[in-house]
Amino acid sequence: MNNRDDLNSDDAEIAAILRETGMRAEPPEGMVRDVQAAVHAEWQAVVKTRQRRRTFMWAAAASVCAVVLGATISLKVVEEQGRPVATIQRAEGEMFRASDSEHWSRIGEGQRIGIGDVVRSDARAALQFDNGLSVRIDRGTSFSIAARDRFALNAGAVYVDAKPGEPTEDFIVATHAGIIRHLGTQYQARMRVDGIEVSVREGRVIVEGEGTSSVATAGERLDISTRGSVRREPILPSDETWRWASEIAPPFSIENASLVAFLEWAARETGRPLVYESAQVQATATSVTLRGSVDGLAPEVALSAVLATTPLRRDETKDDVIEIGFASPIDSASTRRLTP
Amino acid sequence: MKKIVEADAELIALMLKGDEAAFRRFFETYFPRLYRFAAPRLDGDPDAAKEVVQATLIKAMRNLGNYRGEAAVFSWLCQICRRQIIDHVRVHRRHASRLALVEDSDEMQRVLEAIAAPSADEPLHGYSADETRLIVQSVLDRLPNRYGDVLEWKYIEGRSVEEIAELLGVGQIAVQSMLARARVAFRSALETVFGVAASDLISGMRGH
Repeated sequence: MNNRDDLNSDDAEIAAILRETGMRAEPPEGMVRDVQAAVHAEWQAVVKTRQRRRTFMWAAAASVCAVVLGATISLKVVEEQGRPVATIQRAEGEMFRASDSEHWSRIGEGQRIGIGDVVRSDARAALQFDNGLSVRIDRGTSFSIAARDRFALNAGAVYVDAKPGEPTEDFIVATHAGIIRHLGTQYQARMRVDGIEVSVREGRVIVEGEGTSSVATAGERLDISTRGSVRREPILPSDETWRWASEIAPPFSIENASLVAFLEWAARETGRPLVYESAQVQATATSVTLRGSVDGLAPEVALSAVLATTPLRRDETKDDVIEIGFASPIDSASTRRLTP
Repeated sequence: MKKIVEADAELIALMLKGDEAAFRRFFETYFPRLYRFAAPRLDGDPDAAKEVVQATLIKAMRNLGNYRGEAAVFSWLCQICRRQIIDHVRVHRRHASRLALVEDSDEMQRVLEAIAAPSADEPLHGYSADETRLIVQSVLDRLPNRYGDVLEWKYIEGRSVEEIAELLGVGQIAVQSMLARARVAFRSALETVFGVAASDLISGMRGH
């Protein structure tokens, strides 16, 4: 509705200046949502940590009155608190840790993190948990480790990779919209202001909210709001959504590894099925032993680099699978030691 | 100035208590302003501006407890944002030529900081039409209580008092009173910054 006719002289002067100046630029709508989600998650993490600290202070004060009674329990808690449970395998930039949310210290590759630690990361990073899980975190992620099998995601995104065939204990990712349990899987959870997105690449996860429980299987993404509504949509294992996790994958040690093992790793990391053109090609891949290193290379790049040193090639016309064949029709299938 | 800082300190205190409405108010008020602050300093690159503003706000969240109310929240955010811009430029080696805007001169910063407390500050003269528009937009961003937004909605978009009341979730009388205060604050800020009355400013803008 335009009510410019109603303007008095005072209004008219202001209106003239403003029209001459023009509207201020507004950030794009999608950007507002993204930034709001990230900032909101960070704010919640800050608020929760402050509340936890306050609760702890009260608990500490109360414990003075019951020091003898509580001694045994306290000792157990202290013993658990700080116990290392994971190692930072790879970090692309700065990470910080605090056990009290105020005194942050820089941490990096090779360092251990433990129960009670609050970690925030400006960079992508890969963590190896002692229970066998590989956990990757995206830029701008904040989390805390509540127990050896419980990870609280406060902001950002996490990718959990439980390798098939390797026994892992139960592992819970707690978020403001529910807790996520997995059954041998690759999945990621991304926080939003009003909920979470849980995408499953392999296996199955269960998301338990307040009085609700949703199961997602491979190829599904659940959009769960904090109010409990659930939206379900398909997602390909090779969708762009997974790219960040692939880029921060823990390095694959190719030294003396078989080409088959490397190809299986690359297929899993890129979410594409591995296909051999023939039994002869597969036999060749099994017989090839690799040497050297692909550290720092994203799986797609590592795949090209490694295959270039073997008699095998990937069929580049097929994007949805990794199809391996001979580089030339008369190539031999003899075992070779190769250095990319 | 004191009133703005008190209101800001109250907003931050509510946010530290976990008040969702306070967070929304904070974000809706300051995100667009910071975006407009960062974008021209990064050559108008929206991705760079997004990265910088997100980093600024995340840093601000981490330091909410340290906000002492010694300056307006927007000034505090701009300080953090300036450092983020410098870091971004160092890493990406881009936008370097556009880092210094007319708003970044010491003199302009002093005057913009003083918007809420008009004093005998030296007014500013001799800006081009584009610079004048940019400064007027910065003035709108520095007005308290979303005054800049209501002025734009009313006088550029031509929205009615009822529509603005709906947008802000308040009553129509509150909007009328807010508009009156916004006009006074805007006029006063323009006079502080440009050293001329609003009527002279408009003829100057048209004359360029």
